[in-house]
Amino acid sequence: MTDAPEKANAVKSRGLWADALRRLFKNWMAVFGLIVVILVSSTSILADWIIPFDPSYQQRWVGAKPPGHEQLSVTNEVRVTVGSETDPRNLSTFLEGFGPDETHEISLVAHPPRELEEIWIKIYKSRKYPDRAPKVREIFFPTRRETLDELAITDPLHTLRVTDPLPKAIGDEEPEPFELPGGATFRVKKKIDASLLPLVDPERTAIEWFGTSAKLILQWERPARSENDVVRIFLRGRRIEKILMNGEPVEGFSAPGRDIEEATLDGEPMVHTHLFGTDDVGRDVLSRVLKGGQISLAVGLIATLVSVTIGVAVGATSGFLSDSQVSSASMLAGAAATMAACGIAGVAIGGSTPGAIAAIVVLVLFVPTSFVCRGERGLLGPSIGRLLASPLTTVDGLLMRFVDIIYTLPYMFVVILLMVVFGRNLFVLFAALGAVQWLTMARIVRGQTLSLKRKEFVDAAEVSGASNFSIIFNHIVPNVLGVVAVYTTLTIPAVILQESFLAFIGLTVQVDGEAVESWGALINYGLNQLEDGGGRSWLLLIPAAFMSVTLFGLNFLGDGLRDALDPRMRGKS
Amino acid sequence: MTDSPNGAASAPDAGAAAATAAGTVAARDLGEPLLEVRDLRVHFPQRKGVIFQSEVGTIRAVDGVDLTVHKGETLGLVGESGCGKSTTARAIIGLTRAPIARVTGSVKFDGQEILGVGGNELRDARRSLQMIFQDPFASLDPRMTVGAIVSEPLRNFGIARGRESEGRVGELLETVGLSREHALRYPHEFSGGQRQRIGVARALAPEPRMILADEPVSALDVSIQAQIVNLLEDLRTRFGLTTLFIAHDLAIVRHISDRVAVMYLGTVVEIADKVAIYEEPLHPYTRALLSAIPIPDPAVEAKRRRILLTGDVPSPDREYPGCRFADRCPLRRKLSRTDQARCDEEPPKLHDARTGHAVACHFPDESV
Amino acid sequence: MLRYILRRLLGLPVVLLILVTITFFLARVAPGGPFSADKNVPPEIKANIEAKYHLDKPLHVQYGRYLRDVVTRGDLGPSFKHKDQTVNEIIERGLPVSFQLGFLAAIFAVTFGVSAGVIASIRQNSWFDYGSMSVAVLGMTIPNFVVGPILVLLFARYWKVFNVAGWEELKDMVLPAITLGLPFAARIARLTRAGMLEIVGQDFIRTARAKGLAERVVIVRHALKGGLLPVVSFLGPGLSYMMVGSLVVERIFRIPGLGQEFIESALNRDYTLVNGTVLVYGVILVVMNLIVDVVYGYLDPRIRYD
Ligand SMILES: Nc1ncnc2c1ncn2[C@@H]1O[C@H](COP(=O)(O)OP(=O)(O)O)[C@@H](O)[C@H]1O
Ligand code: SF4
Ligand SMILES: [Mg+2]
Repeated sequence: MTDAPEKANAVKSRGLWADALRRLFKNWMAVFGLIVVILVSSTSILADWIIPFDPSYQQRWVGAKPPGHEQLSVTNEVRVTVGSETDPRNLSTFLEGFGPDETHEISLVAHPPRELEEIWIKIYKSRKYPDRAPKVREIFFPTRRETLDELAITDPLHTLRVTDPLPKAIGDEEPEPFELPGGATFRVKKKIDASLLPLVDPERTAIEWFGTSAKLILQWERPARSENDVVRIFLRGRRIEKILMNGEPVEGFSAPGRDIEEATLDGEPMVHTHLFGTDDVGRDVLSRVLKGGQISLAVGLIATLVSVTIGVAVGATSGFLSDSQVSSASMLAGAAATMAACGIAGVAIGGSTPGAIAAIVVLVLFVPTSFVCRGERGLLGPSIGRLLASPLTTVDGLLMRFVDIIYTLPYMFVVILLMVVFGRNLFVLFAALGAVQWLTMARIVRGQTLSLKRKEFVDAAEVSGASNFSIIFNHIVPNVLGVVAVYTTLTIPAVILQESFLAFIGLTVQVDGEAVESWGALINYGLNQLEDGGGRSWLLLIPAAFMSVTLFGLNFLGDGLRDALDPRMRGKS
Repeated sequence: MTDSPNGAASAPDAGAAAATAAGTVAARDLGEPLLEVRDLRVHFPQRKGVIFQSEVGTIRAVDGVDLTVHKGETLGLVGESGCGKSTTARAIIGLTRAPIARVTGSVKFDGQEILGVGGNELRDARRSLQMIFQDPFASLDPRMTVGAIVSEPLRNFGIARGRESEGRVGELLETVGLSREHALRYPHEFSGGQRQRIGVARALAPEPRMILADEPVSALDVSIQAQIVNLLEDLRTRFGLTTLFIAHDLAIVRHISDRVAVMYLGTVVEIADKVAIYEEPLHPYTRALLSAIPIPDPAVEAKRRRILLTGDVPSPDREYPGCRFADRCPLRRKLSRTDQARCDEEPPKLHDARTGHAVACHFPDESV
Repeated sequence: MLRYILRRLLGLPVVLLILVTITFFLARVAPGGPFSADKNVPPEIKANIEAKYHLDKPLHVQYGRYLRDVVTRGDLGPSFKHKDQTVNEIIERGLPVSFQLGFLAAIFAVTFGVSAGVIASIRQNSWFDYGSMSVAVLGMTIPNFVVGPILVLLFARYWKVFNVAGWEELKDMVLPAITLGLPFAARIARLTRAGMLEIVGQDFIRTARAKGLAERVVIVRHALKGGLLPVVSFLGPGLSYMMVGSLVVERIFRIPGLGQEFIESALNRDYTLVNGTVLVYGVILVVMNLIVDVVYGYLDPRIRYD
């Protein structure tokens, strides 16, 4: 009775998707794309845990350093003993570097004594954590220790003004005896690598800053393992006079003339490598690129997801219910939804409530009616459908023309307009990108649905008693999913590109008043940082490389998926 | 008139062959009609314009079809490709509808009018009236397993669910010559013939009384066609199915049908008992079709005179004042001027030229 | 054909009217209002500004005046942010620069794209074919805000053959034109190659060859016309891509063109300037698309417009 050899028995049964995947894995470009996508997305998801530095953390004293730069780091408290030739004005610059971290409690030790009219100590107030600015706990003078109260400091967060003339004499007294606490090890070598120890201006040595007799006492607390414990002080070419840990001096560092070769704390290195260098204010490029990727990918994913969900639902429904090929309910829905998106964005910003309400009303009224009333196949049944169909077709047609006209303009212009009008917040970006992408998606799905609808298996399902709902969700949607998958993987890079485009031209999205720096913004920054002779090129090349590789990966994957799912390929291997 | 089953007395001048045919009809009781199609018309309006749609023409795919299928019988419906066979079947089962199509006329299934009904009535009708589609590749959802495809009617008509449904699917697959294990596979893993068996299993699932088989074998290799035809014959005797068997040539239909209807350009031009059609075709179109079938006996084959149809198959997008076949009719060319004028001006009605042998031609007794 | 052109031309005002209306009202529904940035403007100055821009009048009056000015005098009004400058002045200054940029980019794209495509199709499967087509894929995938800065890095910063920014001498113009033209050159090269390969496979080319015509003549006289059809149909959408691209390119190379003005006005929320530039872009697009369609119809006799 069988009419063909039972070849199917030998082969394990595979679904179409399994088949497609198998083909996908044979395409090495697509596999490369897949690997890139997995790598980029996992690093971006994990960015908050794996990035070594806070991407907005500035180390002005470090400046722009090329990839691979190693930075000696010491946590927490720093005690500086100032030599006699130290220019106090430099001190202020120096302390600026201690920066945005509440865990820094700066003690200043002036040594040897010197008459100072005034010392300005500026302490950088963190933009990111305005309420967690560093505090100056106390100031040591060789002869006496003064607290802030005694110094009559009014605004400890910003400026510390010391007008008290320093005492004339000072002994060689040490505040505490040295002892070596467990865990901290320092190895010492003759000459320290200068690149490890930049301070403020990489061109100058610390000796210049602090004078030839400058002595430093390094002191830190056992680091609290938080995002802020990242190393902050960096020494260059200076002799380490003394090192204190948790208030206790560290043995082996009492001898002058030795330099730090390597510092570890509890076995962890205190030299941090900036794998991709730093930018001109000393921010870690790797951290910034990963964080930027997180934003780019998040925008790409969310906008795509939104557009896919709405696009598939609208496209499949309208395609299935629509009767003629020309009139397109999805266009109507698209126009309404674009308006609604703008309106909701308006509400989100707090203005233009009537406009928003109008837009929502349009959405609520038009979209469902356009589906419900469409002809005899609509949900209202033939008689009402017939009654409403003709004016609605006309409205549908008019709106379609209207939308066509809006899209006469390049789509990015529309997005820019929307962002100008409704502000540069994330929601507007999603709405603007998503609304347009969704339309495209709906169009594609609609076209697919229209052609699927004419397939005999849809008729067969109807004859088998399936309801419209069941046909749409059991037959149409699963069959357009292939196209949707392909289009989705191609939409993500498109959205990433568009968001970066906006960021590049300066329309960065702002969250909590702070610009979110995605890859486009980083590339723009890199471009502006370029120096003659090609200096600082890493600031441009690294984000550019990340972005290009990601886009390649996603595009290869999308192309691969399309080839793998292509029905003409079906059954071949 | 139509092909009245218990036809009026045959014309007195009927020839010997006709008498034999009539005799056959009389000998076999046709039984009650199960499906009655009267003056079925399916017109596809052609629209133009985006905002203000206007109608620019009409495709008269089916233009006044009359058919009766009796309980337990197989009626073969034959005609050139594009003559409206599929559209007829689809209209019967309620797949063509406004606004894509304008459907008029009457389709009675078991005495119930099912044309133009919707909702539950239509579902109920489809439980007993199923269809097998022409293209075994397009008619199975590629994303569904065979099991899901075959169980769809079971679920939708509320016949069986879960384990019970699984069991039924297994039985059905075995009935059509597949095995239970095939339920887990996907359509693309099967050959064309096997797929058509799946389509048959799906149609059988709700235990219908009648099946519309729309060219179920045209898309298959010739070597496999016979197997599917045999399967259908088998099932018909086993389940007492009534069948409308559509094909585009007379050869296949001869094997399976009890009676045969010939369609041309949206209308039935001749309908009669199988023997009558093959032995004594009355319509010039039927004669032309028959003359195109090669005869296995070389001696007879040598003598076979082919009637060649001239001209193209005309398009169904216009109205015909007279006979639709007129501009290709080999008989008309031999007629007198007045008779020709009659062909051109008066549309021939389908009437009983012999007992149980209806034909839509003004001159059924002239020979070519 | 004439009827088609006429109908398209008649539709033009409608399109532009809708465009004007949309941009006008979009700017007005913007929350905060146009002068929210100037927080501490004295009330009398603010009143002056409002009177100058008719902001004290009801919305429909504002719209009516704006429309009247645009239609009757082509007057797009004063700029919100650039004191003492009208939108017309700003556009008149920027537009020629943008046109030059677009023109140079188009020349680059067409000459490079077509010649690469033709050579690749003649030497199908040669190293040139593979090489140029791989470069083309790269050119289409890498966004121009990556390509541009890298060109700057290499040719303006490192080797210093060209200038970093500006729009005065030829040394200013090479890099921007290449940056803007590259994706189009890539696409055109691929389209040309595909189109040529298709045409060359057809009968009439074989006939021409069989007649003994020189290969060069066959290519130039017969194959090119048909092979370039897809390129022409790409020019329509290509144009709007080019406009978007010029936003970025003008920003990279600090070219004082219309795109730069548009971005600046967008960043400053200079609404009249935004509206004006969008309108100008709209006109250019619609007209150019019409031209492309007409040219396409002329080249491909199979196309019938009615
Ligand atoms: N949905 C439709 N719209 C317009 N014309 C149609 C449609 N369906 C079928 N037709 C036309 O109706 C005629 C009959 O088609 P069909 O019933 O499929 O013929 P057959 O099955 O006999 O080959 C053909 O001319 C076909 O083009
Ligand atoms: S009616 Fe006339 S034209 Fe028609 S089939 Fe009969 S003879 Fe031929
Ligand atoms: Mg058919």
